[in-house]
Amino acid sequence: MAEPRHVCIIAHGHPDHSKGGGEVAALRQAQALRAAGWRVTVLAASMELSGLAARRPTPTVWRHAADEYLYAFDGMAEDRLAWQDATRRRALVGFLAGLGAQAYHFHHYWRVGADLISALRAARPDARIVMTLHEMLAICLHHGQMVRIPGGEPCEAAAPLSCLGCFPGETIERLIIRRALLLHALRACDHFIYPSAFLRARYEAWGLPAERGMVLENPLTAEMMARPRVPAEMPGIETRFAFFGQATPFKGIDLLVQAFALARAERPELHLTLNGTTAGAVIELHPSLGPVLEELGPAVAFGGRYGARDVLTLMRAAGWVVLPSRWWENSPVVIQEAKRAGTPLIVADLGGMAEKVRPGLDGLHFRFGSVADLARALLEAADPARRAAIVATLADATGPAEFLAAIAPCYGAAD
Amino acid sequence: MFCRVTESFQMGLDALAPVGEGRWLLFGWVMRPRGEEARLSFLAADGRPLPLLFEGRHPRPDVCPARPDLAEVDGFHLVFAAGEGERGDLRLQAEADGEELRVRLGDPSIPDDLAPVIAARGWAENLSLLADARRAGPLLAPLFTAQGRSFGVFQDWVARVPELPAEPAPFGSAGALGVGVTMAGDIALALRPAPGTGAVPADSVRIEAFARPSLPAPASAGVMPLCIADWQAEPVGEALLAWGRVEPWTAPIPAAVEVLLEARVGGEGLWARCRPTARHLVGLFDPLAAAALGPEPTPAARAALRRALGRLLARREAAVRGMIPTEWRAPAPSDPPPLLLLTGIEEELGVRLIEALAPLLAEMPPPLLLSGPAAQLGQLALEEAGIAALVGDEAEQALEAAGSRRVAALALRQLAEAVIDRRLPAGLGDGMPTIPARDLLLLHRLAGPGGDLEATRARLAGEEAPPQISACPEVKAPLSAHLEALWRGFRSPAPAGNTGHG
Repeated sequence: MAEPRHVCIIAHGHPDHSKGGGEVAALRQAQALRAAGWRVTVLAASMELSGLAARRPTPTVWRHAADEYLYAFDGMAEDRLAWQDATRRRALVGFLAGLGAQAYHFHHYWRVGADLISALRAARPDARIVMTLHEMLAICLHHGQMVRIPGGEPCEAAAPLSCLGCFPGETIERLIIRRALLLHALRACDHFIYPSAFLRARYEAWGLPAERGMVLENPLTAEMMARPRVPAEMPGIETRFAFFGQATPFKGIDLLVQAFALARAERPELHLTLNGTTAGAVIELHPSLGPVLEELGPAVAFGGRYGARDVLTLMRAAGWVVLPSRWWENSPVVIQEAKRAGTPLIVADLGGMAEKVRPGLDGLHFRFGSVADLARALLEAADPARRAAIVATLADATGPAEFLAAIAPCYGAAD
Repeated sequence: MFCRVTESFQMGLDALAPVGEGRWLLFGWVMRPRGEEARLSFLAADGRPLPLLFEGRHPRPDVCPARPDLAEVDGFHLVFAAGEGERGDLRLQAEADGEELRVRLGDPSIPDDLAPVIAARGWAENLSLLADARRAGPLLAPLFTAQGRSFGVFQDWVARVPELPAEPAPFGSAGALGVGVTMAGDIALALRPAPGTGAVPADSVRIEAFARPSLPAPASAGVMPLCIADWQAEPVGEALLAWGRVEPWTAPIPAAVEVLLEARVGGEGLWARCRPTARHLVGLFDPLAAAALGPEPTPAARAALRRALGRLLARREAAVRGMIPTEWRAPAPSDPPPLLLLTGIEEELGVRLIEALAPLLAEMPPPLLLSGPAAQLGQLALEEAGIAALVGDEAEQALEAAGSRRVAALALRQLAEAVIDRRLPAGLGDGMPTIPARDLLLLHRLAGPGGDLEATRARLAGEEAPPQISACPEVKAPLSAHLEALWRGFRSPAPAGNTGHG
């Protein structure tokens, strides 16, 4: 085996430009590997570079930092699952193959392209190809969320006729061909990393080979793991709830605000902080929340955007971290961060959230999509004894060491 | 030239021209006593009778007897063999009711340049001459090659006949007029009169069809008249829906067909010429039936359409019966590798799959045949991977040329399912049912439920393939029944039904 061990991580975005969980996980993985002595090259899709490339001739690959590169994806098809511009694809594959890495680790296939994975397989048949799956885009056209469009209820399995209910403009042929295309490309990978057992079950039911799959949590950084884990003990902290994330339709901020209003009607001392967003962004996404937020007044605060270095501090200031998502979730980094901070969680009883938060041990569950049951959980949580009991059993997050031990064999390394 | 024996026995000679190999064409009219026959014959200068090779008669409403109750008029087109004889030596002899008339055909008042005569002549007589030229076959074929123009001596006249759009449309005194053809040789017409002009009589339509020379063709190549069999016009309210078929039925029908037609609408003549695009069977009847029915049809009109279409399709079924191949079988060990026909390439997503599976497709015997709206993009993707592929007319020509060689037909959706189920490469070619290429084409042209070969492939495989009706829902039931009847004797290798990833 060549030394130093060299892995290339390809991601659908770079956290310097996009703070999504997948992007963050990809870079944290790179940092963990580097700390363990690996040479890691990062190649990430860049919206900014693509925008520039659409206006003027721009190289496909752009150096971003030491051993970190960005690429333009303006030559991709609209669904960002294949390349229309074969020249751009060839340039990327040429760049990747030219790195001579012993392993190529993809985080996601969106903005990467199924055809690029196949082409890299052909160009580097000797290399290991690893894929970390982040949501279910290959399985579900609805942004990979597996939530039914008409009613928002969770979808248990994709099937062409069922999918036509959400996408009446599609055809059975298109849905079958899309699945075949993505399966054909993904099966070129040697290993599949699923951050949750839930996600693994979904992808393997869809067609990925079980023998190449492994559940492996995305790690937090060594720096985060090194910080003392001292849960906050300030009086009344059990009444302070916090949300961390962006205002998107799937994060369920509307559900949380409505449930919080119900709960606060019974317990006026409750407080909610929405981190990662602003009042304007929330009201723009959910106009009906305007009057509710106005009535709640200072009981709801907006924390605005936050950086990774601040997240543990912010979480420790909260009694509970609430994940009211309106989709299954895979393995939200917020759960890992809350565990590390020592802050218990309130999550929907579904998918990756239910898997990662043990009810009564790591936090509380509420019925998916139910404002009333979330309100019930908030009231249950606002009990200092209940919180103290859960804090005592709250699991810690996964650190780099555990992750590296599991991932190294996938790259063909012994450790 | 005009000759008169009696008030009821007269003759007019419009033109006399050589048509090659010592043969002459004479046309004109003869008036004869009502109920009597007028016998026409040709003599050489020495009185020797000359062989009459073809005689065509037709009405001449433009020549009116002074006493219609005593006389009637026939137009005629006569071809006779004069051998080495000069025009000045030739004689025409007419006999009727015991009277005899002899005319020297060397008379210079009989024109011998056909093109200007035809250009100035009545259009109905010209259409009769075209019909006689079709019946006369090679005897009058030189009329279509004269002057190096595709319609030969008819060219100047044909150019003046109003041209009908490719799609049914209002036309002259017609509320809608449309003509269509199929590659199988179907020819059909819809004629709906303008409101208030009354019903169109079923026998008022005359139609002639011609195959245009396919390119590249020598400059002298002319059109070829096509024989239309089983022609029948059925009333649909005041409108007509008609169908016939080009003979011989199984011969490949040239893509470029030209049609000339005459109809009477509201007592007036309606003339049109058109170059209909060759469609598949469903695409033929769907727009024509809609045109015959018109907007906002009454229940009675809809019922009439279904009855009319049912009768026409019954004639078609009788003509087709016995011609449908019956076998679609698993390959025998001795069979050479089949050609692969990949159908249902509908859009870019399918092209991506073809691109992804190019290494596998490269193992099939060339050329690959592709079908579907995005087949050309698939062809390009394969060509870029160094794989020969044919689409559209070229693919059909390849099937035509493949003759008895067997073809395996696979829908892109099936290929995708094979990928999903990990059945590749066994799912590609190996063990798939095959059919001789000529039988596949015949089935597609005679009984294909759609224009794309995918519909025929689906039906071959025993899957339900309903005809794709878009213009006229009334067409669906009779056409479905017709197709079902045609396919009844066909044995599919597997149970019918859409299975798999639905």
